[in-house]
Amino acid sequence: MFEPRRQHPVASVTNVLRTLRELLVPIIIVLILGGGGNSRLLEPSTLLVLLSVLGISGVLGWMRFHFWIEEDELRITHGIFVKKKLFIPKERIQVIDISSGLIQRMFGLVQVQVQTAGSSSSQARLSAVTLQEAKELKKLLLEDQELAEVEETASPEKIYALSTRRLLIAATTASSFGVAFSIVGYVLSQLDQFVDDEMVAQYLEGAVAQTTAGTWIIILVAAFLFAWVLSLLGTLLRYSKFSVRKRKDDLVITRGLIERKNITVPFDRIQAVRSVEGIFRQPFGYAALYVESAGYGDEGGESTVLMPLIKKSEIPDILEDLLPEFSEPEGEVAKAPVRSIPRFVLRLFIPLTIVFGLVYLAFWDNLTAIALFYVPALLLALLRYKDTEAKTVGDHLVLQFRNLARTRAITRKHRVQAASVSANWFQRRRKLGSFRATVASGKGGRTLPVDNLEISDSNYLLNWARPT
Amino acid sequence: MEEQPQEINTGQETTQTVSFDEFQKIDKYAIPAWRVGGGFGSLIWWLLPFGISLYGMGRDFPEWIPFALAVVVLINSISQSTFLPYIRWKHWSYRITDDEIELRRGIFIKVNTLIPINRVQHVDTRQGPLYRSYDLASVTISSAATTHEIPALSEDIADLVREKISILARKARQDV
Repeated sequence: MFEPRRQHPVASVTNVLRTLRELLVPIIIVLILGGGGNSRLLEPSTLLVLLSVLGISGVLGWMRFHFWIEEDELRITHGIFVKKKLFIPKERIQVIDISSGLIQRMFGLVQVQVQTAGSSSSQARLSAVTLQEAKELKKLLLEDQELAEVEETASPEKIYALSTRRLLIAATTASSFGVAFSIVGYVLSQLDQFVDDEMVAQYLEGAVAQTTAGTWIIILVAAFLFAWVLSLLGTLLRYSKFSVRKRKDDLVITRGLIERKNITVPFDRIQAVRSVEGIFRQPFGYAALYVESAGYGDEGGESTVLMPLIKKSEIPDILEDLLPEFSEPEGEVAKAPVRSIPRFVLRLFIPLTIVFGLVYLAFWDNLTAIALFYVPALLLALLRYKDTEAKTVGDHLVLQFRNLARTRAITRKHRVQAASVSANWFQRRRKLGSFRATVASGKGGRTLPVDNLEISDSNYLLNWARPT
Repeated sequence: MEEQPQEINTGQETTQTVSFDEFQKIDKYAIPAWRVGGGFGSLIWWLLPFGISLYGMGRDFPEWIPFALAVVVLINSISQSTFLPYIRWKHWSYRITDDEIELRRGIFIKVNTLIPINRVQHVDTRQGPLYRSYDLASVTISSAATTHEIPALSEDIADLVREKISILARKARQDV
């Protein structure tokens, strides 16, 4: 029905780009180790050779890549030197994702990803085919797809989109500071490639002497601002044109400005739902909603974003509509008892004291300034105590906990892969216990921890997790 | 309770009748195996005080820091090769019923882990050179999200446990 054919020639370009992206880290490492700008890697002749090798391999890769459908299998042969065959039987195909990156869109093409069941999912990717080919493939490989397509158009009200206002709020309150900071840190660490040590030493001798606490605060604030702008832009790119559609067997999430992503999450693979209230979002009543799904990570086995920003009060309705299996039932809640407060406080104070003990010994003996760090730590500890709660209603399990952001997770008994109760010596003395439930997520698992409950409550939760 | 592992080890015929419904101890030879393994393993920490004192040589660096570290590392090495393995062994127990696997362990932090048997994806036994010299093997239980290990069982028991779990897991999945 479908003769062996090649992809669109543009595939050779996307192949090269993908290889380059995969090589990015090694290239950076080579550049750093190779002495920055003086590296021979950067000479025009070397670059030319490298690029032409990449280009030729891209074209050869495209020429040797064939795909077709035969005997109800998607068959792919590829490989420049060694011919590799990838045969995927129709019934093993779970999801066919059609997406388009910048390059694909310039030529009116799409990328097709075929995912099979199983946590060790082998993937087939066609990086540049026409939309028509993609649709034909989808039709031939997923018979009930058409049905779903029809249903979609029949019930267009089941589309949740992210309004521009919400997108902006999501971007400004995004707390991917960690990532942004590591980028800033990386850039700073690279600076000394361009500035030689003596210059720095001279500058520092002149400057450090005059540097007051004020200057440090300005530097810190500037770094914060920079990190914030980075995370803002990142969120804008990621979640532009975000929408969730409900279909018969799955949710389809579409997002992204430059690279449109299409994520399909089958209902029967969903393990848990999490709402996360970042510290900048909680005061305004906003949260982000995630689903944990087995085998289908958003990117590299992470949780999938179901809603980048949502009013907390809207969560019950959206869950009721999109994922009724995970909508939260009413029930009695177990909380951490008052006598657990010292545990929460010590959990933060002990590492803080170790860190500042070393800092104090090493260079910074400003005790009042150090003491100031304990105030937010104490506050966080009290919030953690207040926010810790757990409940079971039938086979629903609801756990709430806080690291920095407050997370509320809802899962079902048959989704719990392992459960445990742990109690250290101090906890045992106060009859406290920590409960953990692990659900499958992407290629691994996500552990949901609630600390310092009554030991009886923890054991109750563990017994709840028993199959009998 | 403490006689149990020996009972299991003494004769081949008793292994046929072992019931895993009650909590079982792991093999007593875990103790010498862990003493050797832990003792040698703890040697790596000696790099820390030595490294620091090397770094501090000829520098204005407080001498007591590597010294204090050395004391801590010494205590660690001694306890790893003497009494810690015994306590760890004493606190380790496991149980396999038709529906679940339960692991109990921990000295300072006591942990009780529950793995529903129909979540088990595969089980295997593993044996490194150290375990082999004591005729021990560990059983590794993997689900879609987690991996758990029952360490240091005698080879026979380990095989038995692996068989039992894989049969139960297959059955449980069919029931669902």
